Amino acid sequence: MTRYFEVHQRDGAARTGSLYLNKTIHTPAVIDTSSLKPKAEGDIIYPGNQWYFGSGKAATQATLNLRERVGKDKLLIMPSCTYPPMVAGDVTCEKIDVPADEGPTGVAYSERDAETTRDLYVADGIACHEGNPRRLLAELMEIRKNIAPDSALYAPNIALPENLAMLIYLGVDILDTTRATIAAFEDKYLTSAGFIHLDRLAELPCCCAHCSGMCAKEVKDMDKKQRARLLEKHNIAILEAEVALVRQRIRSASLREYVEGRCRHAPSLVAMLRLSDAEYNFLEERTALFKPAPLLATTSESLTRPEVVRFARRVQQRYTPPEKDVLLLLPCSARKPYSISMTHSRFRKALGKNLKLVQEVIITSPLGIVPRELEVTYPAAHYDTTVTGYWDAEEHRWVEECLADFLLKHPYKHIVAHVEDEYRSICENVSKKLGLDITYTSDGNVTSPTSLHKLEDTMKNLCDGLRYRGDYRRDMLKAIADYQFGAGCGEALLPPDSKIKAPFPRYQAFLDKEQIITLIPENGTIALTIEGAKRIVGTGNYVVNIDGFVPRGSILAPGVIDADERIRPNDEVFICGDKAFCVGRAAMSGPEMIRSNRGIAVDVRHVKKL
Amino acid sequence: MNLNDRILEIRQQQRIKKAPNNEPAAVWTGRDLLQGEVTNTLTLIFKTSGCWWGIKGGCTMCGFVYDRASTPPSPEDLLQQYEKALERSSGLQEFIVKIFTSGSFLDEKEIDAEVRKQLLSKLETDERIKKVIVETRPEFVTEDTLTSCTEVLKKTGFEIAIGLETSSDVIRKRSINKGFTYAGFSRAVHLAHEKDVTVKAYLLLKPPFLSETEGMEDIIDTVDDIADLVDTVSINLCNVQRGTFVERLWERNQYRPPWLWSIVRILIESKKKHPELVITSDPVGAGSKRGPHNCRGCSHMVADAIRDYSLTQDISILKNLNCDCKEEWEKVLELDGLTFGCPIRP
Repeated sequence: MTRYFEVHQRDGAARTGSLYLNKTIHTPAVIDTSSLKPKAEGDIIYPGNQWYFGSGKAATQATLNLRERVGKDKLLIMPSCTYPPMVAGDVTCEKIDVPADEGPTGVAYSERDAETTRDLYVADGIACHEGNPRRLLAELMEIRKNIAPDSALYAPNIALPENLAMLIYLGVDILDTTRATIAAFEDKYLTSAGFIHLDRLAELPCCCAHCSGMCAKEVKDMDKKQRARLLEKHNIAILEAEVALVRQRIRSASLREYVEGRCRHAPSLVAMLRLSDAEYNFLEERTALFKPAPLLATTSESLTRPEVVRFARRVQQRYTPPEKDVLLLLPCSARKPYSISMTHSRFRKALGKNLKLVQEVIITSPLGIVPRELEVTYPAAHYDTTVTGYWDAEEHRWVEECLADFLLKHPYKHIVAHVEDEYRSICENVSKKLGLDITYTSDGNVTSPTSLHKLEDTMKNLCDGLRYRGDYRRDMLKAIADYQFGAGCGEALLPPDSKIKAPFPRYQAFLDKEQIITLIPENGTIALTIEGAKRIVGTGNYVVNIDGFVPRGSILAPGVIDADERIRPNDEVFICGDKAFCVGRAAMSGPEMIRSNRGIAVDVRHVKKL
Repeated sequence: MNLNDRILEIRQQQRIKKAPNNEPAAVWTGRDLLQGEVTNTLTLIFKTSGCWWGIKGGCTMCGFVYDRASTPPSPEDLLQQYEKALERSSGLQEFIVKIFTSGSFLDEKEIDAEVRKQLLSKLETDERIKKVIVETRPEFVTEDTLTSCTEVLKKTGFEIAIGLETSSDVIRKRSINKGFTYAGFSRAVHLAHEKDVTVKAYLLLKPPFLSETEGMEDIIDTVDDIADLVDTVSINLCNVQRGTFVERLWERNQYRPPWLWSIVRILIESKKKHPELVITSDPVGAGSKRGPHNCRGCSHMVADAIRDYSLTQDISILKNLNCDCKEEWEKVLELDGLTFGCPIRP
């Protein structure tokens, strides 16, 4: 079956894609609602509601006739009963019997037939939940979970400049101009921060082609028809500009930061953001292992974004620290990775040769804690946060939880904290809560000579007589391998006789002169060679099963038979088929590989024919 | 689940108002057309055991079922209701009596044959009363029921009013849940005409699920379909009554009552096509959120014009109405069919 929609890039649940019709529609997109009418001859056509046709049979016939007339490169949406949410999917509706494999089709979600995959689903009735963020979110997630990932989702009669980014963030691909048009007829001047009633507008806060050269008074003085037309053009231009910016933010993988900012103009949108963060599994499944853009933690919701929560969970569940007796807690630095910052260089200099005897853990918001070995992973080396010296109660609680969890799991003989201010109060709270002693070595300023001397002397004392046979570089690669592939994979990949070469942090690991691992500091992940992959493929983690063919360049979704559900976009994956064993980077999540019929699933890097 | 189950669910959560059985549910006076003349009317809503169809679930927009009596009124109660109602006619010279029961006047479970006969006899003997109009569902329109009325009403005109709502069986069934077909209605009309009983059809503009345009076109088509069949057409504008399915939708942003501009267009178009047919509309609740409305600025003015037109049948009253919101309504007509289950709600 031909599918007419393809997803190109993903950023969380948001995606860019193409709907291949007479003309390709690049999504996310805002379509002109009136272009859906058959006589408008647009590329997406809605023949009309079933009420209009009088019966399901008549509607089916009309749709089939329309297909005949417009050809196979226009998408037809099945005539709907337009039942509102209170009864949709509950009160039965006549089925429209138009095949899905003779040209692109769409259907109202509540009227879908689970057996037939359509290229587009209409989130019917979704606009009724505007103002009820809980319901709106629940409905959007339900739809997104139940339709194929490579089907486009159209949310009608809801788009406004302020909510557009949020809707796309949650997985909507297509929106329309209904609200913008109707607002124009109500003298509502839309801005990305909400609407302003024309009566209250002293100047036009916009430079779009329709507003430039105009002043507010001129617009107010126009007759109704002219005024509404002008406002409609402006309102749609604002919507278009917003969707273009959102597309750009998806391409640069920075939509989350944009949504965190954009939602502030409406309490219900902030509620959507917070409630959606509580739906961790929905968002996390769609969130890439790393993103090319820096993670900017500038709001209270940064603490709950999936990348942050996932990092903390993996530290808790996948990371095992090397066996050491002394733990040193350090504050974070602005420069990343921390160890190349001025402050951390000084700390490490003060530790001198005791450095390798000490387990370093960095305390930070919003990540909680970062073990030194994981400092180059995403997002530990890729975040930036607002630094004022003040931490709010939520940050305190979150970081304390992370630290307490670490200390409970990994007991140390000695805990030293070289911290000040808020960091210190975090350590004190945790120490009190867990009844653990912590030695504080800073004296008002962590980089003052007295503080550094105290740190040096304390560590000399504590480390006296201790020995550590491990190698920091191997510890780091092992930790990252565990973080990326699951606990235990580091040990399997890096046996004691493996050799590590190249300068920090671009480490490479060899075994019997055969390269197995490269650390890519740009995104904080490790890439494996075929030899490396062979060592851990047995775990079954991050495996993609394919049919009996030899992949070249990339593997498309229909070629995937099965895939590990843990796979996230950008994960290093192992491809197993009868004819080949390969290593590559996932372009989509494991569940998406399984459920998609179109799009690149994996970019293959190494292929070994079998 | 079918629509009726959903309606019944809502009905069961609603309480029946407690009120004495010997008082009518409502009485009011008004004006209507009688053979081209504006005539006073006395409308009398009997409190009966209620509409059999409504009690079982019934129509999506109907809240009249809650006007019924909690225990069936006795024949004496019904006669007392009549006497009390007629007190309101003291100042009237000539008038029409409209008898409604919130159900069917001809349903003998609501008003038994003997009481019906007594009531009609009282009406017949009152010289001031020129015409009696009773409301009924078509299934109660039979040779017997009609004859029992016409036997008594010899000098007084007699009309039955039936809530056909639409000529579309699909809409009547799947949107209104009316429980009878066009064929059933048509049968009743023919029977009535055979007995020289005139028929008024009530239509319903914009039942749930339909877009503004679909609602409007449905009524225009319906008037065309029934123009040669009935004597009078009265178009009701769907409003949000308490305890109804429509109210639940409306509370959840899932229903918007019709625009008054839509009925204006219907009246102009239909009257043009059927100049001899009396087409009226009483925009009940116009201008309120629950009723048909335009913008705040013009709703009352337009509603008054619709009432004036209804009494005069003069469409020129409707032709020069204007307001800025008419442009918006035209946009709504264009876009409301493309919203997939969530109406445009200005």
